[in-house]
Amino acid sequence: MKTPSAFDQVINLLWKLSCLEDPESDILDKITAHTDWNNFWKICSDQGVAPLVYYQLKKHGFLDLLPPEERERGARFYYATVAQNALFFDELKRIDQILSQKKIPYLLLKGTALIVSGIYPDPGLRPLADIDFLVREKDILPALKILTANGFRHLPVPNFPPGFKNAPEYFLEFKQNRTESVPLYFDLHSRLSAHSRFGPDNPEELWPRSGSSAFEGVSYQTLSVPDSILFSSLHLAIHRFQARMIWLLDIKFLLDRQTPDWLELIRRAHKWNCTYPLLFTIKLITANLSLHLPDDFPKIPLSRDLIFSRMTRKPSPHLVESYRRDRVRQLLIDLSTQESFPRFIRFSSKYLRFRVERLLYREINR
Amino acid sequence: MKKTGSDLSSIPEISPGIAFRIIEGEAVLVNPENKMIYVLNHTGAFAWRKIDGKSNIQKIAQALSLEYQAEISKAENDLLELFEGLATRDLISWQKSNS
Repeated sequence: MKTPSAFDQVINLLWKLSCLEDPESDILDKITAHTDWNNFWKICSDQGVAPLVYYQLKKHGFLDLLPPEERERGARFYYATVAQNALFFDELKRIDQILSQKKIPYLLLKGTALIVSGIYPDPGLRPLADIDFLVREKDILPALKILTANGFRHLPVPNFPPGFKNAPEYFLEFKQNRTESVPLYFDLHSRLSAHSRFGPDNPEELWPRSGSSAFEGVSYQTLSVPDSILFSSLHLAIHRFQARMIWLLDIKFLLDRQTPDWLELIRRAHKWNCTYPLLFTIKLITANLSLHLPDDFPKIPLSRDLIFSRMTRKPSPHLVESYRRDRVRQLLIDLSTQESFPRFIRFSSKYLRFRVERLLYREINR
Repeated sequence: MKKTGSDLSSIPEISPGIAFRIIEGEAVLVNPENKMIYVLNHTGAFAWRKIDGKSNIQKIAQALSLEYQAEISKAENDLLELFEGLATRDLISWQKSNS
């Protein structure tokens, strides 16, 4: 039998540590026997679970199993996440006031939504890279206008191929004195996916199903649990299932919060054109964590190729042309220097950023 | 470490831009300007929560003494040291007393 790699061993340990509901003795033995702590925390951090692992160990009284310096290191991850998220939520409160004054409703998405709705019991457990909002398409420009008038700066991006014209999305970089050295990023979306063929045909259907949660004295609207599960699955698929562990844990904790009506969920996934992403996501979770599924849960035709071919189409010729090697530097210059933005931009800036980074990486390693 | 010249009549106020959260009785403070994070223990967090831009150190020390049943002189000395440390790290500034 093949011995798992050091990476796989840590990953297997992290799965269990992240959901320490019923600690098994062998987990504790594995922690005690663990020696390569640098690798352990690096993987924890890369996978977005370092604060969660620290919290679980502390909650269950297992911190003493760690050497003192490792306890300290785990605490630093936790406190750093508390601090970073404190900055985010202070600004979120301000954005809420700004948008509320203009009567622009919004839904919180992704990690932020999971924190405010209590899926994570402590705001220090879920690292945030940004805060994602869903607003109605008609509200995108008014929201952008009022936010920029209040000190937010839109991160300008160059032209994007027409393949993305159905995905209006804005990428705002916060620019205030307090965060000059710690930039905070906020994304305004009008759809759940930059790809028009995935997600609900009409995002309006999300709003009546949404729920509200009080967090730090503010009431926030978030997607319903089933919609969040579907959206998270879609998000994983967009990232080609190269998932960080925390993204899968997000879904696991959503499922712990509310067992969905599976039939209804799969029906909705069909409508959103994301049946395979959902089933594959569930498969990934059940492969690593305990998750009770009904006996008649669909058997998943698990072919990675099939899923990838469903999810990732060949890039359009425009896309390829735009990102030819000799364009990369100019794009980066545009990204870093362009100051004007007030035009309706129709693309996914996140996708662009991803593409640029990937191409830059190739360029550097050429 | 520089001294900020505080005394018991000094009124601390939280510096602009400082973000903080109280988590399980501890205070996590972050100064985005220098990207530094500080954690205060329970008594430090208690004192931090009492900072309202109106109460001077003496008044906060009285509250601390009552809460933790500590001698008032010890509470005052500890708080002078704590607030001095917070001020030198730009987490608080001193407000001019009206009296």
